[in-house]
Amino acid sequence: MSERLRLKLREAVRKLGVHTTVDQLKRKGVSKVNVVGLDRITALVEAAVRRTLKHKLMGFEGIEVRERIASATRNEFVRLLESNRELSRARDELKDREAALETEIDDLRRDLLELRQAVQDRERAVANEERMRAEVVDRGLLEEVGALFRTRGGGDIRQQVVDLIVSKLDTERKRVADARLHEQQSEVTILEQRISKLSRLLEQREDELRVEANKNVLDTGISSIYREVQGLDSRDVRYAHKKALMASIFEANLLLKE
Amino acid sequence: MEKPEKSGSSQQPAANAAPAPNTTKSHGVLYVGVDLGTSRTSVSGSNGVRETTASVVGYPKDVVSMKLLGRDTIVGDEALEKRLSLNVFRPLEHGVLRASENGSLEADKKAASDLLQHAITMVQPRSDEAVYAVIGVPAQASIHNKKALLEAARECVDSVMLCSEPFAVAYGLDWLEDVLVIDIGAGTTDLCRMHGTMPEDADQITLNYAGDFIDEEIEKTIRKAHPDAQFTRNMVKTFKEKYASLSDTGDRARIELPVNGRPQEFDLTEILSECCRKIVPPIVTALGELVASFDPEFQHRIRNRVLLAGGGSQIRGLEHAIEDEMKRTLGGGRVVRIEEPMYGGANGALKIAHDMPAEYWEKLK
Repeated sequence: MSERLRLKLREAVRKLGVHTTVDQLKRKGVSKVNVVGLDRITALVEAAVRRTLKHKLMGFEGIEVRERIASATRNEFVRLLESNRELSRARDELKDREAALETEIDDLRRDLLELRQAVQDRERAVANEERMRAEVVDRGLLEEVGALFRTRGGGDIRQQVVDLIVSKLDTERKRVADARLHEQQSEVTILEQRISKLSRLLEQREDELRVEANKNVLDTGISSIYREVQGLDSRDVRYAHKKALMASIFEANLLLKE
Repeated sequence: MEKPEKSGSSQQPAANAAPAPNTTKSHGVLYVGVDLGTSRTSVSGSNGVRETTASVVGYPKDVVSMKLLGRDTIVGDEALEKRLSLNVFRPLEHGVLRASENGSLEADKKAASDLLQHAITMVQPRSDEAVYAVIGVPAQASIHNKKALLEAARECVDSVMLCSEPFAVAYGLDWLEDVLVIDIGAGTTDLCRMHGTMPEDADQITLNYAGDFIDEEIEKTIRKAHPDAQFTRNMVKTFKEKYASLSDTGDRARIELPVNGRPQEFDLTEILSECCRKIVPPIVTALGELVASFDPEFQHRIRNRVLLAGGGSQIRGLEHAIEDEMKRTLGGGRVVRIEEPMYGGANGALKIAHDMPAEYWEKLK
């Protein structure tokens, strides 16, 4: 086996290992271990691959054909090792991206909630202020007018003046209220525009997250060695016997399905 | 093994292969063999993956544990580790679906479905490959239980079949004739006589003398011998799996158990050995029944081809203890323990999946 493949195999076997310490093993109740060196494992895998190749290549005529197949198998093995690393890296990147998007979405949701709350609080506060101010002004004015008429006298005139003042007050109050309302509406409009923008941004991020989650470019499964259904090997000396056994198993399962 | 008629690399589909009905699963076929045991579930896949895990499913007890765990279902060894925060289900009893404690089968059916889904996930299938699975079930599982298992399995694979677990063990090793399989699990010990055709009811015996029985005996014996020792059934199972031996050459089983909160060392070697040995006589009795009812011309052959499998077969010296008992009561015999007890059933089921003709898989979709 080439040196390059041997090194890659060593690396792959090393990555399969799990780090631990003697103390950790003791805590788990392990007092004795058997140690197998990395070189030994690599040599065993190498021997197994060589033996398998030799077995699989029996029946193929010509050294060239066997060499070609062996070389193709080696290259495929190395390609699988490398693609496995690539897949792992891509999977980790995808997970990081998903986590970042989810965090962003959470932050946006929180901002949206806070903004809506702020709008509601502001409207409530403004209404309260207005009511309290109006009460104070009305009370003050009535007291002053009452005092004035107590000193100058007159029943009808007093009532007319009171009516006049109250109507003036109402007009002024309405004018002030309209002005304040207009001002608040502008603020509310601005806040609502912000809310609308954040909502759009939130939808966009959620769509992106859905796209990332559904990306089919990366499949983290491990391929089967078979590209199609296999079945019994007709060269098996027990082919007929095994075929009958398979039929029995199938019939029993068909009965269960029905 | 690839069919030799196919030309070129196995990576290329044959020109005359029928197109897959689901065009999104055109990358290949993943075969999966599943050994669904009372205590452990093992899977073997045609992508080289082999895994084993506890047959346990847990659901968070409340909102707090759900937040901590971050999931609403935990399966396998992780469920055992975090069992204090979970409502734990062992959906298989004696290898088949059981009714839960409150009498409802639905909870255990859901747990079995979650366990099966987790088992398939452990094999790491690709989303663009068809998954064809064979699940080994105990020799005497009822039709009702088999249907429930199939129903659960169909949710996570494209096509599925059940087969007898001991048959799967023998098929995996190519021992198809005149062999007697003893599959010692946690809930049951299944004995199955293979004589060239599918085993029938008369060829199979199921005993309750298995791993859980041994655990119960060990617990009773320790409590009697050392009433102050504090331990749980789970602890018994752990040190049994580590120290169980019927031979004199193994390490002494010196185990620390708390006594009133303080750890104290106990030598439990004899207790473990004595309790493990208790399953030998009923196994050999059942073995004797299967031998005696076999064709007399081949009884000698089958007595000398006894295959020991399952997690319980890992008890050191068990095969020799069974041979000794066979010599005492049956006139002799030879017992061979399979090399991979934890994966024998799953490997055999995988081989059956591989050998099953394509048209059978299609008809069962």
